[in-house]
Amino acid sequence: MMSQHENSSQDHEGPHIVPMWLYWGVFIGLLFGTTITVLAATVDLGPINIPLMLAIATFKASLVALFFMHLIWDDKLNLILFISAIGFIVIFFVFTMLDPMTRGAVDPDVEREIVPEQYRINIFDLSEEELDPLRPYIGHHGDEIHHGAAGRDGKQPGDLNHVKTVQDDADGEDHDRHDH
Amino acid sequence: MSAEISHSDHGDHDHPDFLAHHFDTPKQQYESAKFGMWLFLLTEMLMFSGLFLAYVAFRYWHPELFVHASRMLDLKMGTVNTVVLITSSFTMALAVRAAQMSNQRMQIIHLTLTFLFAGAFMVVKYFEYSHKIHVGTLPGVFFHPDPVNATFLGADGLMHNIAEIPNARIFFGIYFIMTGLHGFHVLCGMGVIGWLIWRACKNEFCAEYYTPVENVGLYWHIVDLIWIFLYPLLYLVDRT
Repeated sequence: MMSQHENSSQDHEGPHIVPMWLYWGVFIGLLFGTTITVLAATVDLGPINIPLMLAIATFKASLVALFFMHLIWDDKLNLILFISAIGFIVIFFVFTMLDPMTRGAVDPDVEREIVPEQYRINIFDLSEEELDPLRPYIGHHGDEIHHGAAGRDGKQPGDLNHVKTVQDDADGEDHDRHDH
Repeated sequence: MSAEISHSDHGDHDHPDFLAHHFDTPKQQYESAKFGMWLFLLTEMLMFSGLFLAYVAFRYWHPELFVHASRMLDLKMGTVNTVVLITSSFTMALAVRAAQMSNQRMQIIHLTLTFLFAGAFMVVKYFEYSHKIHVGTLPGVFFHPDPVNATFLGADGLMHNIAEIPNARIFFGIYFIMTGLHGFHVLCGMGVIGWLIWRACKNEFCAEYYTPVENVGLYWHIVDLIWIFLYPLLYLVDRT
């Protein structure tokens, strides 16, 4: 971290002191950005709403980072760190969102849902006992294997025919739940 | 004895008290501490980015949910908190400036203002949270919306109960985790700003040495920066 004479913050002359008017300007800019973003949210601009909101937030964040956090005057190493972190966050977002946003392309039959309705389990509808992840393996009645260890379908743990049973149940008469 | 010997190494060098012996100059010490602080702040940004990504994914899957559930949040309180936090960032920047100018009085004033604004933020947060606990709009398995009071003004101008909105618990899960982690950072910030006030009262900071003020300032600005994104994403999804 060698000193760069043209823009170092703590040279022999002492720290770089930012003039008050600049801090006031940034502060007013931030309040202005907040006002604009609230007003923009109250108007229906169609597809522009979200990009506009993000643009204003990025503008405000840049003001804070560059001036309040002194990145514009600092050793450029700190700015490079900051920008590279944003770069990695972008990679993180893009590659993760590629999955949910391209599922339709992988599966040309977009009408078919990945988990059909009747197989879906809403975990919030399950009892505490049913939510126990160890339940299929331990059982609750010790020796009563068929009731305790096998769950609702009376199947052994790890039974590969389990899925088929689910389908049979769903096709048949409605019991208390679809998600057997 | 060894300390004395190491001191004598520097001989007639100007070696102030605040300069640790493994640094050559105050500037080198300052830049190293600041670099370390920036590395920490990057881990903070990456931690929050995971939560922002969860927000993006769930909003992609349930766009309608965010449009409706966002209206359950109190826009006034959210906006007041945004202004409060921006102002606290401003006073924090002025506190750093006062330290750079060796102005103890302005340092204490601005640090105290920052501390009070942070406290005001948490008080508003307390009212927001207690309302949500009261009407039962809590995350996950704790989501039991009050059939009478858990209502919001829809875009159609009518009052709706949040229970009408499918998967509303997902929104409140995201809301509470994101604002909760952010609020925790505000509380930590109050702690370290309090520590700065105590040290500033002992007149420990001056133009030659103000690294703690600078680094706490950086932390506080990151907390503000995260809120700058949280506020529109949670409160301003659709207010037409």
